[in-house]
Amino acid sequence: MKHAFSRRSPKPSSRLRHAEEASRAERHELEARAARARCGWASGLLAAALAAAACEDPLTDPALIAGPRIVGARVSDAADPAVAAPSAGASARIDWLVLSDRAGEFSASVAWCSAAPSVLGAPRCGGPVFLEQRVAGRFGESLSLDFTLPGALAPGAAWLSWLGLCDTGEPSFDPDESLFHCSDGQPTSGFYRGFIPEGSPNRNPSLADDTLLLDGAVWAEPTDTEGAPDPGAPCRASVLPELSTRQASSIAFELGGDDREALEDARGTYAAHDRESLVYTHVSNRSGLERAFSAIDFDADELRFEVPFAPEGEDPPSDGATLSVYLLVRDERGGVDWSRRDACLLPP
Amino acid sequence: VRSLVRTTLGSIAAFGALAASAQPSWAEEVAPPPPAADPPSAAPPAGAPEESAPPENEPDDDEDEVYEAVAEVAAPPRQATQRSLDARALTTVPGTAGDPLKAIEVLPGVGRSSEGDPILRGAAQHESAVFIDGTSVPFLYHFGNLRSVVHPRLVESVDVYPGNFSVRYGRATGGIVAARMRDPRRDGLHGEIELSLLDSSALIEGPVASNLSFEAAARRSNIDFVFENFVPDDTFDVVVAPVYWDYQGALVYTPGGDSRLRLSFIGSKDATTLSFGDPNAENPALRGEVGGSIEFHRVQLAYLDRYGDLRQELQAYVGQQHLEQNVGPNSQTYFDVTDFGGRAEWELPVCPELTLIAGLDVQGSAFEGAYRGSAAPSAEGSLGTPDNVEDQITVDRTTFLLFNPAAYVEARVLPTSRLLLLPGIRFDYYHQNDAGTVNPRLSQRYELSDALTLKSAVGWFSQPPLYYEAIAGVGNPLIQPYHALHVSAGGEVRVSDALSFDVEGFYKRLTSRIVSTPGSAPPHFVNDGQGRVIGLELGAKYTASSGLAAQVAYTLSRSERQDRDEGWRLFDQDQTHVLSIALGYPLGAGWHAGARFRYVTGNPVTPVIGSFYDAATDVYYPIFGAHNGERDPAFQELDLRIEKTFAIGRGRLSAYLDVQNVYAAENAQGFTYSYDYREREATTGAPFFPNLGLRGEL
Repeated sequence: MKHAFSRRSPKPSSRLRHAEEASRAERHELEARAARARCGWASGLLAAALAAAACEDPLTDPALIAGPRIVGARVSDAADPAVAAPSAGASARIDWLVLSDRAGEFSASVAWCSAAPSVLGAPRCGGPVFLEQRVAGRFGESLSLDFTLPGALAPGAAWLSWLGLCDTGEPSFDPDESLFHCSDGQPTSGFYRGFIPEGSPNRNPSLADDTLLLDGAVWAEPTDTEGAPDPGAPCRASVLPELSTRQASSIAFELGGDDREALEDARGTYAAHDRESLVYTHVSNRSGLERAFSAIDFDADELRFEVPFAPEGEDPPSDGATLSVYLLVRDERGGVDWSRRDACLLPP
Repeated sequence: VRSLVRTTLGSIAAFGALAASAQPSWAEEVAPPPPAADPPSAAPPAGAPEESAPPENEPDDDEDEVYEAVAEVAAPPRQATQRSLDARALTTVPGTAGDPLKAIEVLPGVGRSSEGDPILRGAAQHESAVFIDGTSVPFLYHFGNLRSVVHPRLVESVDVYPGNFSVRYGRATGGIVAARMRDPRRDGLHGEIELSLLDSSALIEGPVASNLSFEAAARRSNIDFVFENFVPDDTFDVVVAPVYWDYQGALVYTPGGDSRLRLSFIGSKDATTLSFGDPNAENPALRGEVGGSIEFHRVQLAYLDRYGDLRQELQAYVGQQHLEQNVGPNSQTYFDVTDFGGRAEWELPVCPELTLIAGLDVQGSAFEGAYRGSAAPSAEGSLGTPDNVEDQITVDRTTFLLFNPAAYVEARVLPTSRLLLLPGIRFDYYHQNDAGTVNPRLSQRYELSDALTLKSAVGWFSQPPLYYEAIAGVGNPLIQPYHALHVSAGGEVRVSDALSFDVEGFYKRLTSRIVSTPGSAPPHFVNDGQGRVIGLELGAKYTASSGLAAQVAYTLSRSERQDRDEGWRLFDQDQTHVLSIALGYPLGAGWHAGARFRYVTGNPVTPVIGSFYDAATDVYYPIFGAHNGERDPAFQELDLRIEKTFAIGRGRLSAYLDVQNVYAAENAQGFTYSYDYREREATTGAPFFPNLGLRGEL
């Protein structure tokens, strides 16, 4: 049990650092107990005064791909793929990125509708579905779908693109509830909300000119001639950089061209930012990433960040296991891009 | 961070924190000053050991104290039901850390509140009003709701009107809690210092001249000290620990006769800053610095006089508030507010059977501020959804005025010696909403016998929107006040001087409640909600000659709401059973022990049955099941308090241990969810917490 008043981000305790012989499962439990003990003690002492301080969250690690999971969608105008906000009546493409802890294909349903006015809570369809499809895709690869927005959408209006997957069977979309349903179990579903531009359209950020470093060395993007590798596929003696479960690594990101577009916020001037912030999501198919999110804010001067990777709980086979790290960047206005890096995780 | 955002910013950040200032502001009985030698009031509540005769040679809190004023002669009632706790009971109820406003949870009709403000007869917290020394303050509790902003040793008594209150009070559809500050002692200079894990305080009082006395108190939190010295470095990502302080004081001038002038002041500040190096694990929009400060200062002048049979009461106050707050780079706000208000009331006995009371009640606030952040949810009944950076709203620097004048007339009619009728009517005008309300009310008390009094009341109550609910861009400028019908009936049985019972049933109907539009789309708020509450209150008080004081309170109720055309649902804090048992006992030799046990039905919760993902902002939205369709497990808690007082010369030294949640009941309160809402853990309530304190008095 966690205490209502306190949660914190995971950080290894000294106790854990000395428990190197413990199994990963034992470590998880130790860490959870240690966190609870720390939080319980401190909470008992300071109680609600520490309402905002955070104790460790032992629930699902958001940085780990543990099953089918939608992690991003990127919209690009057909006329200018860098434009993330197509105008009413324009043709565009949406790329969905769906990951899983296993390789293979998936079938899904997609739907488009105009959004009901909303500034709080989950967006909903505000009109009939104007496009609906059954599609097939592969985990780890972009699912590209072309569409045309209705010409009647007014500037500032929102539209929604929905994607739903079922573990078994085909998902069905209910526009009244704005939800997918599966015949058995809960769907994996998501949406992308786009806005008809009122001024200059937002542009997608690009990771192409940025640099990822793995333990200080440039970590190149795979050529992907055969698509994304199977998660955990044997990789010893491959060209991939090697990582050991015995040793923590560091993944560093350096922003190349500054993608933070200048902003003219039509919503008002108070606390307005003069340019975008960039928020990064980093997830992998093996546990060890310290966190799932990083940011280079609008006012940041340091255009880089690091994410420790400590796969101490992993137990790869002697042939190694392919590790894929996905990095997504969002500009908080609908602009998205992503990239993948692979490495080979080897046993000690 | 999620809980912080909900708690501190309430989605609309400062608006929520300042909301209290938009509540009914001005009222409170300031009774005429009785002679200093008047006997103390009778009928002590549980945990009021000072009312019992202390054994000889023991330190006696009251033996050399001469509190000058108020409440020592019971004023004629102005409503069917009034429940009170006196000074000692207020500070010795176990589990409250000596906080007087939390002590009222031992009374019938008062629900369990984990967020500070009281829950009275199934009303939302913002629907009841709390007054301190006649004035509603901008915020009642310091950070985390551990402490109210008033020094407990300056509180004379707290009266609770759970419903059907007098027309003296308005702008509330729930109930009223009125804390009355005591006047300074005049028998010499006195001081007090108190140290505890939570905070340190000092109090000084005494005479300035023969008819002028003063009191002043100040308090500061110790949390930052505890933080820096006792909490391991890696426990929290906090760069500046939360700090609070407050002060109160008064100058009382009694020129003679029935005249009395009281100049009082009160102020408070809370500040905290947290720094998160990386985005929150659940919502990447939450990152960077989270914190801010809120403070207020207020000066009040109260004047009482009597011209023949006419009693006159005049009050006026002016004050300032300042708030600034930010939650990462995407949510920020500030507010500067000048508060002002006043009351004038005249009471005239026309004949022995009829007394007329008329009054004017004015409340005002001039706001200047700006806001950027999430839209405001309904004050009650909103479901927790993540803040989405794409849904942010901005209110550029704006100024507006709240000006709420009211007039009321009330009669105290005694058709027979045993029947008391209290008809009244109140007229309110709300400048911000350009709306007026008329509230007729009628209460009656009938002494069927010396041991049994029957009581009943019916009344119409109105409440203006919270101020942000009427601001263009955030709310609906056309929003109107909403209303409640209160009906209650019951009886009070006085078995003996030591034992009494109180039974009362009540029903409330709320109309034109303010609710959000779907998705909070413009106009954001509409008067399209209803509510209904029904319940029964039972209370028993027992005070033995040995000093044992016991109080049992039980409330059975069901409180429901309907939003727009949706079905009826439970009120967010509907508590079917609320049981409180409080005991206080002087053990002798300066020892005093107290215990409190509470059992309360768990609050309703809305289950999460799934989730879906926003690919543009990387947050998950929960899919909810039936609104308030489940409940938390029942809350149960035992609190103990033991205090030892030593007499040292003219002074006294008291050491106390106040243990909250003695057997560490987990008391689950809702759930914490994983980032994708697929996993959850119960969130526990307040933990076992021993608060050790030391108080020296001279």
